[in-house]
Amino acid sequence: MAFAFCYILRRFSVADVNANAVFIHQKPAHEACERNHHDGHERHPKAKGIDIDTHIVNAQKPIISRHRKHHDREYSMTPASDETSYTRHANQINQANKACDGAKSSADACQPEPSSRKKIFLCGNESNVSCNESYQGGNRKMNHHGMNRMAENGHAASNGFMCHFCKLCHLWHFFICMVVDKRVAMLMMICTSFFLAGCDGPQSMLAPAGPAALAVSRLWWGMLIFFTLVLFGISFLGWYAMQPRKEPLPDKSANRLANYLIIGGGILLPLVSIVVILLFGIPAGIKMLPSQTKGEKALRIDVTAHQWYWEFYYPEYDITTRDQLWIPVKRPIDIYGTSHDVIHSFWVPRLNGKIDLIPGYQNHLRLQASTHGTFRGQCAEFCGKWHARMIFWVKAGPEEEFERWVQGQKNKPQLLSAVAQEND
Amino acid sequence: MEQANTDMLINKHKEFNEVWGNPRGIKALTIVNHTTMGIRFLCTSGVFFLIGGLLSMVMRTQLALPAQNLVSPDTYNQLFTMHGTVMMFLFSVPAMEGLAMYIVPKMIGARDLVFPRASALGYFCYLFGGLILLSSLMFSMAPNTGWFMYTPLTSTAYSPGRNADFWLLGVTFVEISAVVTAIELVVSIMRTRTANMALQHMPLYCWFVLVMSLMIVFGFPPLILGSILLELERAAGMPFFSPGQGGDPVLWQHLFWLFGHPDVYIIFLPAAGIVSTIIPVFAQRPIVGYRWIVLAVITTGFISFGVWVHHMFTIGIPKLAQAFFSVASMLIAIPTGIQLFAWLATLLAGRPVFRLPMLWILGFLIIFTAGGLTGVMLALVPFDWQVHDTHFVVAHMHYVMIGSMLFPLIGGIYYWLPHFTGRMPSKMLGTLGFWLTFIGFNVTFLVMHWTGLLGMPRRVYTYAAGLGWDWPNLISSVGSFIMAAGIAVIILDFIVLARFGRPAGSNPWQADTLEWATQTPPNPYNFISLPECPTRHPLWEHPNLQQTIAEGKHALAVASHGRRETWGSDPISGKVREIIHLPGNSWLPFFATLMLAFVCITLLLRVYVESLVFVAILMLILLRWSWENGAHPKAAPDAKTLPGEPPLHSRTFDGPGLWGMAISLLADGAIYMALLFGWFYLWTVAPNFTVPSHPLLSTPWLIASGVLLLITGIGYRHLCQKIRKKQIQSLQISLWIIAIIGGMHTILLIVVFKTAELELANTAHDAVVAVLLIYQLLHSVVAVIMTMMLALRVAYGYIGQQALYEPIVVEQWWLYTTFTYWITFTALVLFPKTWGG
Repeated sequence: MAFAFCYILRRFSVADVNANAVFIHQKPAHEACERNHHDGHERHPKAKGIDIDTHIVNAQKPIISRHRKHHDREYSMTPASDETSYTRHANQINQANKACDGAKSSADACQPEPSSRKKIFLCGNESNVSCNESYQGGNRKMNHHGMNRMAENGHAASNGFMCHFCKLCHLWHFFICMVVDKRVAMLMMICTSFFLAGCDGPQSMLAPAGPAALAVSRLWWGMLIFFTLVLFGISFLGWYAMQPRKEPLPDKSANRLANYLIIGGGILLPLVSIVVILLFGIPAGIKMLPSQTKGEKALRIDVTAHQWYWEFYYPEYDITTRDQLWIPVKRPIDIYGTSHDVIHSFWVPRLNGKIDLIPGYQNHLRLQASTHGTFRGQCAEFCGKWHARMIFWVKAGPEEEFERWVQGQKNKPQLLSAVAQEND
Repeated sequence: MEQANTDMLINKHKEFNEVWGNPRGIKALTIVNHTTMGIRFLCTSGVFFLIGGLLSMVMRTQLALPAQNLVSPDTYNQLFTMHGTVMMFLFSVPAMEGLAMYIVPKMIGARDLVFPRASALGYFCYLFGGLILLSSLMFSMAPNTGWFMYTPLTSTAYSPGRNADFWLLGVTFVEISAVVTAIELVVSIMRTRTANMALQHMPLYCWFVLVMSLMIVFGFPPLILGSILLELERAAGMPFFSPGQGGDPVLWQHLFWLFGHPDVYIIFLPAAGIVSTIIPVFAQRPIVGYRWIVLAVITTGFISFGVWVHHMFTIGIPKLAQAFFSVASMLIAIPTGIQLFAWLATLLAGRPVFRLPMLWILGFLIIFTAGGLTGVMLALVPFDWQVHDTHFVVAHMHYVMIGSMLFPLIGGIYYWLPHFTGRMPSKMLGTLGFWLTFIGFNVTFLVMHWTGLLGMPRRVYTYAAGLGWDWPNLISSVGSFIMAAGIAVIILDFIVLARFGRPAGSNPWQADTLEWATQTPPNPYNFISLPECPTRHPLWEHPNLQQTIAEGKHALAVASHGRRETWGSDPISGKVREIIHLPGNSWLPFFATLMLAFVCITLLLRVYVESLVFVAILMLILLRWSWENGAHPKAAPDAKTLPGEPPLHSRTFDGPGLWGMAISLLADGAIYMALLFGWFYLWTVAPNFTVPSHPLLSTPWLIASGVLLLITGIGYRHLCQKIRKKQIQSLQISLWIIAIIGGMHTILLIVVFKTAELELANTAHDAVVAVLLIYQLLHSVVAVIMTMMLALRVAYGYIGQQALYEPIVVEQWWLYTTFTYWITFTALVLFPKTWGG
């Protein structure tokens, strides 16, 4: 426990230092810990670099009550660069206040730095480190206008995606505040925060950034709650059954008990569970399938996996990239994948499930990002010595940004395709 | 009076020990007794378990912190491949089979398993196969492509070293052991139960073992076939799994998981059998819902063969198939739930006492339930698309495997320790060991679910910092060391027990089943006399049974004739039908396995001439093996039995050999079915499968060869009908004629094969045709050799008016060979014609 406590505190202190240089973004505490840490260490120095026009910073700051109040008062009235998104934040902070007694809520308040340099801040879930640099080079000419819109979208989307669990979290905190003694509440909150802090990460399927991944994460939370109850029920029954008794049940009632338990617990319980799971699971599964295109034309990208890198080809634009996948936000992406050598598996957990890439076959997967950001993808099927290093990054930005990137690529296509050919 | 009684007991023991006793020294290699073999299996698998555990410790140390370089990626790949392989093939299945070998005959009131030499063969195959596999670690050539060996990563292009060959040959070797033992267990349970132990009186453990063994018989052959095909691809370039030449890498996945998923239940079922044995004893009442449980076990066996595709949800198979396999996988929760609630109901209805084995059983209940629940989650296709091949699956799998196999196994070992050693385990050390293991296990693997959900894939040798995986991995690593400490304490407990344990006395847990009616530790013959057992709880109903057995008051209490005897009974009702006489200690199993090991090693070295030499020696040994049977001087030269006793099995028309042959042919048929599946699969699914424009095989010659085979098949059947009527005037001549016609058929088949000019290394089509023909050829050759041997045995007088049993055993082989020949003909010749090849 003490261990967890120290860990949390360490995270907070990092976030505090960093808080002055960041954009307003609000998220519950559990979302933030993991990311802040790295943003704090790795993003911060880069933010000062003049040569990087586009820079993505995501800093949410989990704050224990007193810190939080402080931040609210001090910064919540600071004008933000984007009015709409700011209003939304303010509302949420108020809601959080109401819900959690004002004292034990956790929320983030971060502030945009009135920057003297040409720096642009985005909101997204980003903790990409090294691989991005080459991207950013290719993306120099992004203008403020586009980026502002991106920020707006980012807010709407990320809030939408987190809320399904945030609600639960708030409810839980509310429950703690109402019911339990303050110290216990503190302890419990730290525990939950620690537990939930883990949800996030650039490759976490519990931090969905697209409709398919969102559907799965919802399934997971539902199943987790239901099955935890079942597990506790059965464990309790086992414990109760082991209690010493003076007399055994007479045969007749033993048989009746056996029939009740076997039919009720052994047949009906699994059967009902299966039906319920399928009721939720089948629609979720259908949602993930590529068949649904809502009017908009999907962008086709051909993926060829190699030992040990990824080759992405945009047939519409005749662009080839390696280990980096640029996609426009909101637009459905049709991934058609195969392998050049052994079996690999294409997987961007924050967007969708995985699909194996098998030599001789072409498999199909639908990706759709609802929010901006850079998402980590990794080969999920063991493919030999450097399987662990077969990583790629998906960069989702707005349509205009994507178009600009395409133009940029067309101007200098020889470089990347030369690299790709070399490795063929 | 008492003195006379004791003397009588000692004399009886001496008399039986003359016949059944185990030699010492180098001759201990000749022992075939099931008690010794069971203990050997258990101890060997224990050693392999520790080795597998050490490998995992290295892995957990490597993963404890991000970006560590404790081991190189290649070493890490060897580690996880060997960890999986050792735990699945060298620990789980053999440990379960070993325990079953030890317990089952005692539970059903038999003196030994029905094919004792096969027990020894099974053990040595296991030992040598395991040693060959592990030796690869010494040469730094351990398999490094995952225990699932997916092609094309395992093909020569991407794995040029010998690593994969070690796996394919070593594992096949070990699987031979598993299948042989399983066949033996099935026949033993069906045919050697003591008098009047009908199926419904059989202890539940035997039901579980029966279903497990049948599952091995059907489940292991697909992998044996797959391994042979992959080895052929690697060694001879036959492209079964290469998409470029018409093969299909997915075919390997199908063959592998056709074995792989039933394997989970093969491991789980006997463990559930242990639970079903222990719970009633400590609840002090019979189990409730016996019929429910039996039904559930059989259902599990069937369903488990229909769910293998849930390991392949991400390969892009049709959605309808995914839905089907998803629901099938979930349905398995029902039979499992039935067993779980039957156990709980038994505890609720009885007066449970808390003893050491129960601690492990309760740990099992919790962990296994958790593992089963995540299993249902994984069966949900959309969820599986996300968590497949992540650490979530690693956690789930360890919950299922350790929860459902290791915990009941250790519980079972504690339960039967007094039986193995005659001493009681220490309560303090045992409890400490349990809690360390239980806590360590949960710390390791509960957190690992989370690691997986955060997106960490399996089989990565390291990971970058800052992905949220650092802490969960560290916690898992700490937990794994706690668990290792727990296992160490348990081993310490066993050592302390062997040295200082207090004597257990007879039936220390007041159990109900027959195995506690033997001495503890048991004598090689188990029982001086074989009691009737028309009940599920013999020791509860007749508390003095142990004594009356020892005093020889029941059946078959004589050993002065020098034969090892046990009852052969009706498979359903358990009524006594004959006396089965069992072969004694022999060098044959050891040398046969030694030759097999040499074959394996020479194949690894790719010196094929030497392999052929060893195969020839092996054949000679096996022929000698089957020669020492029936009325042979070393088996049962005279058939005299006591008045009122049934005849010896070799003097009837129905013995265990008939059953052994039938079950072996089931396993053989499973290989054949898998091969046919491969043929049709490649034909319909493989992306580049090409069919030659003209038929390769000469149809008229094939038909001619087939007609000859049909003639032998029908002729042999006719001969057997005459034998059953004891009309054996021209038996030897008839057998020679059948052998000659069979030989002609074989030669014709070889001619067809030769003239076909198959391009084995170029197209998968030709490669599969060749394998189908070779399969057929092998069966024909074996049939001819067996028939010739029978004819010789008639000449030597081992088959005659009194002993006519053996030709009937071979009948099934001839019929099977004829049957598969015509199916092969249909698949190779008629199918392409009708389907427009």
